[in-house]
Amino acid sequence: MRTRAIDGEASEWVVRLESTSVPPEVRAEFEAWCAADPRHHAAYLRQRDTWTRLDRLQALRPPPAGLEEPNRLPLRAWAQRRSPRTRLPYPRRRLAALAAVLVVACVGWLLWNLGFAPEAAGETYATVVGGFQRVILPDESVIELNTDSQLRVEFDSRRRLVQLERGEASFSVVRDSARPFVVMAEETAVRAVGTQFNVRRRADSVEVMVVEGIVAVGPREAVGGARTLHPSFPVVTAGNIAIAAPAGFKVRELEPDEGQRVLAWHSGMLFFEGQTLAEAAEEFNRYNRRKLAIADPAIAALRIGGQFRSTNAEVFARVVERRYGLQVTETTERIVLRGAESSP
Amino acid sequence: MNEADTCAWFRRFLHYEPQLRAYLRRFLRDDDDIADVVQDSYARLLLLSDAERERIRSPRAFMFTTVHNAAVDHLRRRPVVSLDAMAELEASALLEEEVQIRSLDFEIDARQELDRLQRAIAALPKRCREVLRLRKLLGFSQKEVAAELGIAEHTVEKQLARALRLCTELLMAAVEDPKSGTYGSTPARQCGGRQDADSSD
Repeated sequence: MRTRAIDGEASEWVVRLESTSVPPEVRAEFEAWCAADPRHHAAYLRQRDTWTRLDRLQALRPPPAGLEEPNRLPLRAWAQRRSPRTRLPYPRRRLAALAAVLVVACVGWLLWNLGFAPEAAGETYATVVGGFQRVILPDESVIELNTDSQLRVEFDSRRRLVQLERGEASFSVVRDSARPFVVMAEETAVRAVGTQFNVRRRADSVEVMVVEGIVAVGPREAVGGARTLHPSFPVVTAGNIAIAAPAGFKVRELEPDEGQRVLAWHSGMLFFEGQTLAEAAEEFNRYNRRKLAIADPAIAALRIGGQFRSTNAEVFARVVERRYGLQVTETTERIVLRGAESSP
Repeated sequence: MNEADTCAWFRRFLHYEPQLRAYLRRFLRDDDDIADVVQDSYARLLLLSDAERERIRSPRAFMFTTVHNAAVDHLRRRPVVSLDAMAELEASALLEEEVQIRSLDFEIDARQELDRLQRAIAALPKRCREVLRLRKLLGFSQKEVAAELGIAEHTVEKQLARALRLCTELLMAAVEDPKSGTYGSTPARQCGGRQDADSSD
């Protein structure tokens, strides 16, 4: 935490010293800050390096069109279009202005009370098959999205709500006891205060693995008016996984290495330890458009192990081909695995 | 060394941070601990005399050693020392060489760098992202950003500082984004001996 505080100060200094004019007393203050602790100076140099690196983004700047500064043109044009061309007579203008202010105030008050404080406007994030995305939320909680996933973030002053609409995501939640963090996935709701967990939507169930801290898991309906889950719902502690399915809800302890295996996708890997070939193929197929197919039921139950790049099913196919003497046939859409003896 | 020289010299050591963080993850679970150790290491770097700075031949080797020592000190200072972490750290003294060999080809070309920056910016909260885009991508001054978005200049400054800090965190995070172009060339990740796909069972 201390490091983050120093980084915060360092980044403020970088921005301040980069603004147009820096009075000598500000410069002196900065030098005193740097001299006070070598970690301050180091943090400043590190933040400043990022600042310089960010200049490379100018390479992405759209090419200038005409003499007008290009990037501001649309905004200016838009502003001009909206400038009033027809003016009302003065007293009516004042009345209209007053009415407008009142309307804005009322609507604002209403929205605020409905829980739509600023930043409440939801944002949707999605990844494609084989994709990965990291998102920092306004409270600096971090979401990581796995392959083919989609979620919607709706924050306001009372709760931090995330709707996992598809796929799988991990959450590192910054503690804020006044605003619970709720993840909804299908009919399941997960409530956390400050913790780290992974939620995966499967075809017929939702899995919640807790890496750190505690979460409460319950049905979506339990999330009432305030849209938070009552803390009395079953809690899941670190090192456990909860599986919510129509058939019921169960919690079990993680097997050794299971946590690492579930989260291997953070590093773009798949990690197998005694899973069947069929299960492994299903995992690969989440990450690739070119699907692995098992044409021979006899080999589907083969137990396998090892670590592979999730987006490289070809390598996996080659390895099992060599190791288990399977036959591999590749087409543009599929990689088909067969037992050695069975004829194609 | 003057400030500009220090800046350029220091930059040579910053490149390895994502790898160093991946390395530290083997012994330190907590991200805050890792951040402390990394910051401590940089501070040690700045305390070197000019003569000592001259003597550093390989910034990468120097950083791995410094980080390693800082991690040992960090664990010793803890009220309850986890023996596991200590033992692992001691046993890993030899791993360092391995890490270096595996990371020899760690080079970021301009295209990859641009991808990394774009990905970092895409991860920022909306407000930060807007302010940073106007300031760095479109080259607006802080005053112009404030006017464009209709917010106070002070707010612009706050948001910029926050965006900068978050970008640094994202760019320096332990390298583990498989889709970044750097994946194949940064094996100092948690592959630890398992990268051989043949090692089933």
